[in-house]
Amino acid sequence: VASRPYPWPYHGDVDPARTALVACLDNRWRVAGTVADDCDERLGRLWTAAAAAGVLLVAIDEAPSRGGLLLGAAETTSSPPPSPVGAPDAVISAGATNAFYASALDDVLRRAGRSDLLLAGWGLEGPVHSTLRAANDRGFECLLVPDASTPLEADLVVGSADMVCFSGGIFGAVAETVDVVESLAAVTDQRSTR
Amino acid sequence: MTDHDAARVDANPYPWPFDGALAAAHTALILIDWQVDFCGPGGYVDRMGYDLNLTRAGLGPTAAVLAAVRAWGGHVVHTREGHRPDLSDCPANKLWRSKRIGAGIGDPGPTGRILVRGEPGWEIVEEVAPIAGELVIDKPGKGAFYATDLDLLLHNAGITHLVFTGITTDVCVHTTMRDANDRGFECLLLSDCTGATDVGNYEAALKMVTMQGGVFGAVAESAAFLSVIGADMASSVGATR
Repeated sequence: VASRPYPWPYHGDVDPARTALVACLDNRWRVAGTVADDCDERLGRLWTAAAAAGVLLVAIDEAPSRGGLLLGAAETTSSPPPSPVGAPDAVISAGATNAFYASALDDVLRRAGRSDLLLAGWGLEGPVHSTLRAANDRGFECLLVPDASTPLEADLVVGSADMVCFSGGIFGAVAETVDVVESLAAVTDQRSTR
Repeated sequence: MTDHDAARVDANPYPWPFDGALAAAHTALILIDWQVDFCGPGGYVDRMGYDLNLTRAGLGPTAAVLAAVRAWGGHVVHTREGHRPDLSDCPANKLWRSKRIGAGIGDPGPTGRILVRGEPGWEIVEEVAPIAGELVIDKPGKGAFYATDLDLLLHNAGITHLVFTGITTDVCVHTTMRDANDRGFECLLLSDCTGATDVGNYEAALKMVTMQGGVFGAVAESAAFLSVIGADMASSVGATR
């Protein structure tokens, strides 16, 4: 994948059979607006391309048990807009902002043999970043897709991406949706022509 | 809890802590990765070519806070990032990335093998070195809760409130503070007691804490925290007389 600061994944082989798309889809982090709509549109394209390639599709929802914070946007949305993504292979009910906390995520990914993760969804600086950080510590090879990740604050988009890239990719790598979709399409074509 | 209400710290975006229950017995000062590898000459960060002054900026204020918290009777927890000498606890991609930028984990350097437990570069710098009785957490990753006994130790000690210092702001400090917040700890980050290899990332990391009414806790300058624990000590002395 054309990504920074290095071509993801580090082992050089984009392999859908060892890849999962982890999409953070907790409604409490969903915001309205054109930026969010554009991110959702790209998330939809990323999801479709991942599905076609055979990438494991994982949807994250934060369990409401702790109450936690209720975002203004979620409170004012009486009926949430339709989901930008199709049917997932697995739905993970996370215990907190970090989707690995008090959840089956680690188990689901390892049992399915998924070592490489694409991360996107709602709350770029929130659930997406917390989950990315936890995944990286666990040794998963992570690719953050910021333009398919809705930010809470537009001026934190640059920082959210730069933090990943420092020190040679301290949390992994960063790419745009169009480049990820292109790489997934290439491996999908290879597979179908065999 | 003490028999009086301590004042709250003047913090952003809310007066910390939310419950007004600041007490030395339930509060820990967390010192993240004040190691030679991250703020000393010849260490990992120095080898990657970053400006050490940026990661060292918070060292003096942190030393002052550490002395005050010790006098106050609060808990102190130090963390160290490092790997076993055979690197068996180092993920393959982490090792690959470090070698790619010329600062390979486990490679020899001026302060010993980079990011390896027991080496001179892995030691905490003398300005904030742990003393007997303080907890030291050795972690293989960025977050201090992953693959460590930190959560158990905090709960056993009855600690509910965490005050963060350390390096780097956007990496190990943020990851640990996020996870602490997820676990229900009430968290405060001291803005002048932390630093990063990039000013933009430092500033973005501080802002991320305060968004949405304090999604990961609150941020304050160390002076605001020191004045509150100073007042708490003064009133405690008065109460016991």
